[in-house]
Amino acid sequence: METDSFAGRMATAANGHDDVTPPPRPSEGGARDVRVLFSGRNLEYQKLWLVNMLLTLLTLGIYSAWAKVRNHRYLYGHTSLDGHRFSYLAKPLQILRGRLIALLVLVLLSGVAYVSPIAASLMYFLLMFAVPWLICQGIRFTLRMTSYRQVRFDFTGDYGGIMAHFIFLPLIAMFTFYFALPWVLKKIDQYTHNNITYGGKAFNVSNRTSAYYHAALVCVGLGILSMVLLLPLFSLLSGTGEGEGDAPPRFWLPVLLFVAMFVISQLVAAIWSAMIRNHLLANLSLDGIATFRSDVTPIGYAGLAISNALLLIVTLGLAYPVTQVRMLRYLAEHTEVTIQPAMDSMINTVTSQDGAFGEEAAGLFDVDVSVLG
Amino acid sequence: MTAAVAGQYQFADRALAVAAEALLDDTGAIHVNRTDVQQGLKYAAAGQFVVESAVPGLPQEVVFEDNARFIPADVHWRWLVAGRRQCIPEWLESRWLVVLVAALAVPLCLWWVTFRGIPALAQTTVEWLPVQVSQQVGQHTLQVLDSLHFEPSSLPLPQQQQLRVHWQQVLERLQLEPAQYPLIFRTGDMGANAFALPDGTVLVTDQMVDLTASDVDALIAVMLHEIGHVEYQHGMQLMARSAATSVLFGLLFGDIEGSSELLLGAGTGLLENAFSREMERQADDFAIARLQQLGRSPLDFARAMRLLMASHAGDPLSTDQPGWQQYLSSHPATLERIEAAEQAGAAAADAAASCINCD
Repeated sequence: METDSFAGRMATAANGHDDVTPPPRPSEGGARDVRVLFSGRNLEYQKLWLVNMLLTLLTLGIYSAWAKVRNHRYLYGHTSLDGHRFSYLAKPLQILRGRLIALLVLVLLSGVAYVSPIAASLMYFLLMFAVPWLICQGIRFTLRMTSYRQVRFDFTGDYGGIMAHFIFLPLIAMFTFYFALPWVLKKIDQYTHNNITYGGKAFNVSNRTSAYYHAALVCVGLGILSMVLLLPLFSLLSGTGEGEGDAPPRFWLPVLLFVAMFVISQLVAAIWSAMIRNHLLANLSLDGIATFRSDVTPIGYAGLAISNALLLIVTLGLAYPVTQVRMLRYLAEHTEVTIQPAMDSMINTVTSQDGAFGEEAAGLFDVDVSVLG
Repeated sequence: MTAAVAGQYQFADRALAVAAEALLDDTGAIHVNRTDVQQGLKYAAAGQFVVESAVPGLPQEVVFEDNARFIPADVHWRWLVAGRRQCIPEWLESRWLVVLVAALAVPLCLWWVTFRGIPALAQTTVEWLPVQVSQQVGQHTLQVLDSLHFEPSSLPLPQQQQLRVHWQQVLERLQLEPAQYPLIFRTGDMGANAFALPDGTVLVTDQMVDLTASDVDALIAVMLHEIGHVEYQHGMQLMARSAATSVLFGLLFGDIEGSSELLLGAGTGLLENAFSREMERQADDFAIARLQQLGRSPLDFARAMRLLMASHAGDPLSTDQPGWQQYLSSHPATLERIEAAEQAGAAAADAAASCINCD
């Protein structure tokens, strides 16, 4: 009953029909089950994104910091839980400063690389040691700029932990011919989620290795099965090399194979994501405050991923915002949170204003990591 | 006094929120009162609170100095008195006209910046760069090539010397400074090939010399093509372009994640190939023009391309690609280049013929 009334209320509030959203009642002693609600709309966000892109172009990139903040505020603000919206707190000037410093570093690095390869290799060697720090700063900044009901998230991971989980464990996976990969991914998920805090309270995830191997087996099995099914097509492809007369199949066959491989890879990736997300959220809790459930389906997830990819290809990437909204809406619809009454007495513990350099540099060097699905 | 706005008041740094209403008075100050019981929650004079910039579909929140917030219940409510300026971005973002302009202008601007703006910028930057930079880059490129691909040449020294002298004569006849285009030989794993480094050094592989052993004019044509790259400062330009493009794309699309990031990577790759193909054509034209200046036929270049094509026949990358596949290539289709050279040759023959008639 609770769920219905909350969902219904948020839906009407989001549509703007309801002028006055009553604030949530103080809890009546019991826990509440609530769905995450995403009220962003495809076209509305598409418009916002396009106009911001135009302003960014017209200002030679300077406005990109404002654009980033507006995009984030739209997506965060339209995500609500239990009648409260999420907020993105970063300020444009803060982002701009971080972005400019990061760009300067990047330009200097590549400038040196062009002029002197020896100095460059030394620098890249040193940069390797900066990567864990950048990853850590990236995650921390994003979480600290995320707030829900005036209480901010934070990240307690450190250099050593990131080094172990994002550099050494993947190496182990490589040396074991990827047999250890599911275990490594489990360790990474465990590390990132256990180090998220909200109002000073730690998230706790008890994900199981067996679930990761189970998902991996399903994915590998499906991959092998589809390869076997595609085998006749592949042999046709190699067969055309000899015959002079059969020119036409040379064109459509690779295209067909490419499409088939694309669909299969999306399907496999979706099955993995769906199974892992459901498992992870089911075993995630915020000590005494909240527990989570996710019920995404591999088919639903894959359908969404494939149609999003098609949208991007057809619009040459311009529909990116629509794909974002569709994904967020789908994920929100399939996420449920049980909130304990203790939530109402949470107190914010994060007050520092961080620089955005680490996060922006992480983005530019492509070592940014997203947590919080 | 304006009418009261209903919403919730969120206490500073606490998850606690109560139903409240807010109103602005004539001095620009804001009063927040509880709805359920008569109790004042907050009073802030003008300047002691901030109205956040409005976002489509979201309530426009008021943030106080201690971080407490008032959140209007109506997502359409806008604080026009205190926050008119804060509504400008939203106004732009929700106008269909602006959106239509953006939808047309964004691809156009992107196209212009990448294909006109950045190349022009790269060209002027490169022209302003001191000579030492291209010398430095040239030397280091050679070091890298030597360590990765090349061994010292195994051609007999007299043959090397003979080719150098021939090359010098060609340069002198073209009124180019021979010292600027030293010729060096290497052998290695790249097959028959020739390069020009940004400092003007022309590198020819032994396999290339062998390939054109019976047709030195073809080799000269290829070398002229290579110094075309130097004359137009293509190497330096390509670097400046890719640096500028990566900075711009980093700013524009830095926030894009996931599979779209792959699409973006593919786009930049295609772009660099397009630049490179355009440069090859420019260098081809340079070679053809210089050949004509020497009184040679552009067919020299066409023959060289045919020889190269035959020598790389087993190499899948250099076979001729039909249609769309050429966008994946960094060089224009070889046959197309040969045709261009042959047409130039035919035109030159025509011109020569008409001149004979003139006499």
